[in-house]
Amino acid sequence: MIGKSSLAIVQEDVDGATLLVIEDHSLPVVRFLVTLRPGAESDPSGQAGLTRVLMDLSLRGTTTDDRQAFNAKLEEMGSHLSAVTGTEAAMWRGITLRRHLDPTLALLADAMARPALQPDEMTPLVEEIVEGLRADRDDDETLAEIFLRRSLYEGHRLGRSPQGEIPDLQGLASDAVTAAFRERLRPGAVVAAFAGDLSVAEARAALQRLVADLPKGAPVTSTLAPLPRPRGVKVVIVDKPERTQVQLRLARPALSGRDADALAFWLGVMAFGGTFTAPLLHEVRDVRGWSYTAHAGFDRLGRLVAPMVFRSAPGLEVALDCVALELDLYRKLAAGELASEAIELARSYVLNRYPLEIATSSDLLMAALRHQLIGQEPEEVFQIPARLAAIQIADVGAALRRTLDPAGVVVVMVATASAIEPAVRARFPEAEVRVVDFAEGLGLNRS
Amino acid sequence: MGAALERAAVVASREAGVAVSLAGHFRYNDVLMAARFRLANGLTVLLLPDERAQIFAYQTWFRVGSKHEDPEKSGMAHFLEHLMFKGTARHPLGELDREMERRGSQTNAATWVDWTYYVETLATHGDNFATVIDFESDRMTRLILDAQTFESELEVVKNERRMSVDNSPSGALSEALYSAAFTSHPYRRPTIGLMAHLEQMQRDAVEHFYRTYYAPNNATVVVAGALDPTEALVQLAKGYGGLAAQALPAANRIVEPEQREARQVTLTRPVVSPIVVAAFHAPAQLQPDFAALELLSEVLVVGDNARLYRRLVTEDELASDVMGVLVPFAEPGLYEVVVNARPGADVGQIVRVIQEELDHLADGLSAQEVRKARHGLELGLYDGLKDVEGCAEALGHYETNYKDYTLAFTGMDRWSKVEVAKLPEAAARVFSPTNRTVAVVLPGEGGA
Repeated sequence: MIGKSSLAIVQEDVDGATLLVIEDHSLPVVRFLVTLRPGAESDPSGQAGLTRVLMDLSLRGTTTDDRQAFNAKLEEMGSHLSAVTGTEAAMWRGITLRRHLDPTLALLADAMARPALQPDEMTPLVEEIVEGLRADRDDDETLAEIFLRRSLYEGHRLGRSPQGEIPDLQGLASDAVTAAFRERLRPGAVVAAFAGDLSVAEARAALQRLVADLPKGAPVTSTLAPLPRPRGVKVVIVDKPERTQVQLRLARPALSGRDADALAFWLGVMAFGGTFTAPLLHEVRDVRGWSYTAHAGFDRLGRLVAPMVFRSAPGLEVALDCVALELDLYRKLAAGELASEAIELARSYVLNRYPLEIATSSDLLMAALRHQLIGQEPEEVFQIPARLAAIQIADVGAALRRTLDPAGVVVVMVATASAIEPAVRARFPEAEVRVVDFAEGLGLNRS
Repeated sequence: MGAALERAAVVASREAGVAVSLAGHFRYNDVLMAARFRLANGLTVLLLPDERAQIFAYQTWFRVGSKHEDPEKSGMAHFLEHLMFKGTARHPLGELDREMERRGSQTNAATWVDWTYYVETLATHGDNFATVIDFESDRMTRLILDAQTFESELEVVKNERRMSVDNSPSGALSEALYSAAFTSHPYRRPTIGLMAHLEQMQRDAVEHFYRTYYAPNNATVVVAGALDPTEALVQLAKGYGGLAAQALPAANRIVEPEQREARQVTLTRPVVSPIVVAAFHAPAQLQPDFAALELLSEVLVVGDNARLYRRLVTEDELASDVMGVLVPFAEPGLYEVVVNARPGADVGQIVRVIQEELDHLADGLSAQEVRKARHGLELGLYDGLKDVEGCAEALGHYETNYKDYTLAFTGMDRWSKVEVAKLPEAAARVFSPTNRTVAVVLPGEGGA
């Protein structure tokens, strides 16, 4: 047992699977995250969306209950069970009243071991996923993220959406999904995390039941080619009509959470753009009033290399000035030019904020799980403050310099190309500028 | 418990030199209880001791929202919320954000039609609690609105509007829906404000709005977390006790005329997938039919077997998703069925299917559906109480809207009192076609 707050994390190996438990009896509720590794990163070429489909399909009926009966049982208890597919892992996520824990987990055990995977359920599911991917293009912020991923990782498997790519989804065969499910579901691929009104013994028994009927054997692994790194400034204008505002992203692949520099780099990014008083928001919003939002982010708990991203949304008339400002700020950041006062303020912020981020059993569970999924001990959750406190100011600048290339960056702008493209080319003559239609890849005829 | 809380009020009165009285308390379970106190200047204080983590949530709720604005000055309450972070004589521009961030809290706030609130959540150590009181009590009545900050922040708000409305199909649709569904009531105006009104925003008018509504007797301070109630109350009384109460405008309650015919508004935007919203005038949160509507909404839209989901998504394949939105308005608001339609789907057909399913509620609910609804709402109630922020928000909402914080804990009582046999009547009262406003976004040119 590990515990440095009023909540304690228990980790055990259970029949080849990994168990995390946090007991919290303050309310009669149990949350669970049953994770399957790896995630969509393992989808073979030409099958982007395979993991998403197999996860969703597992909840559309089992050999015991058809889709309607399965969901009727679940819903009558008020329990929620859903599948979430990410790049690094997929998970079944649920919440239930304490008194309905056993029957809810019995349904999940059935879904994991005996999914029906019916072709007549798969066809409409794929259509729904495709429609969801199309609808994503209607939100400019989501649109910017889609094309940022594509632009950062062009030609690489990570450039695909973990939810799938439409041509691949439409060509996905039912047999491939069934085969993938049989290959992927192994106890060793499962990390089950429980938080709430249950005992460790109950959680252990629950996990034993979840993996009892899974085939034994080694779990699949995923190997990715090295990531491409941008050279020079690449600007991608995602052309959408009638925009009066530009969703702006500026990014570069950075580090894995397992990298020795990850925490110092993250602290630097926080100091630069992770708070309301950080230089990025101050310059963009407070000084100039250009954008409601402006912040920089980096996921310090990714197993794969995660990007560092600036996000802002300036009005059309100031968008190029904002790009120029952010490029200038990025180059300074990449050179490690960050005031020690800003770093100390950020350190104070993240250290003092940390108790809030692991305050509830569900928050702590997610944090512990994320550490576990990148190969660290869950107890690392409680070591973060000490590790942050030990970082030297010079370490931050060095991590920034080692990670970021001042000359290599990707800029994505969701904007009306006719209103902005000539000006972009004139203002940034050194940049490689490309225009893509916002509906590219949707398989729609918009002529 | 009551005696200890009475003693806390006595101690606070004595140590702060202002009258503090206990105005009720409520125990929910072994872990959670809440108490309400009043200061002589009218400030309401809600305390919820919670030792689950060594942190506390501090929220300041004002009984003012966009419904209180001059109809020609929409957006003022929200803009003022932005300006509240700009400093006072004691704490100049930037100090609030800097000090809170140093201590691990990002300041934040929200403005809605009925209320405005400001939030901080911090670890319970050192002088964090005293510092929050210092900043919050200071800006409650001593904000400085300088011209340069005013203009700069106005640009930020205009840009927020561009992001959340002008360049957002769903935001534009929501604005159009409320404008069409309400003809008189101020809920028809967008909280973010119309761009034309933002362009004309005047500093003296905003200052007048601030001086009118920001006062201790129009506010509730909610503190939930690992704090000793007596010590917390003493500090709060010292911090706020010196602020003067002021006369508040009489409530100008506008009653929306009954809608007697179906309405529809259609927007075109560069979208791939149409969005269809069918909205119905709905009761305010404390009116009896609201609890019935909460139960009905679970049956209609929550889960794979929910009636509208199954019909629109699974069976008729007209939509990729469907949601129900029942906002707890203080006055009669709307219940919205929001449909992400498939490209090319017939909007008229979608509306017909929605109405058919709503009409079928007249046949009653199955016992299984009733159990689903009650269990789902019970789970949602617990979910809202899982952390100090959720607890504080629930207390602040109910106290600000209805002057009754205990409602944060008593949802199960309200739902259990709903007579299942009368659900069809409640559905019929709300889901009449003549009470319906449909708002649609279709692919095409237009808008931003």
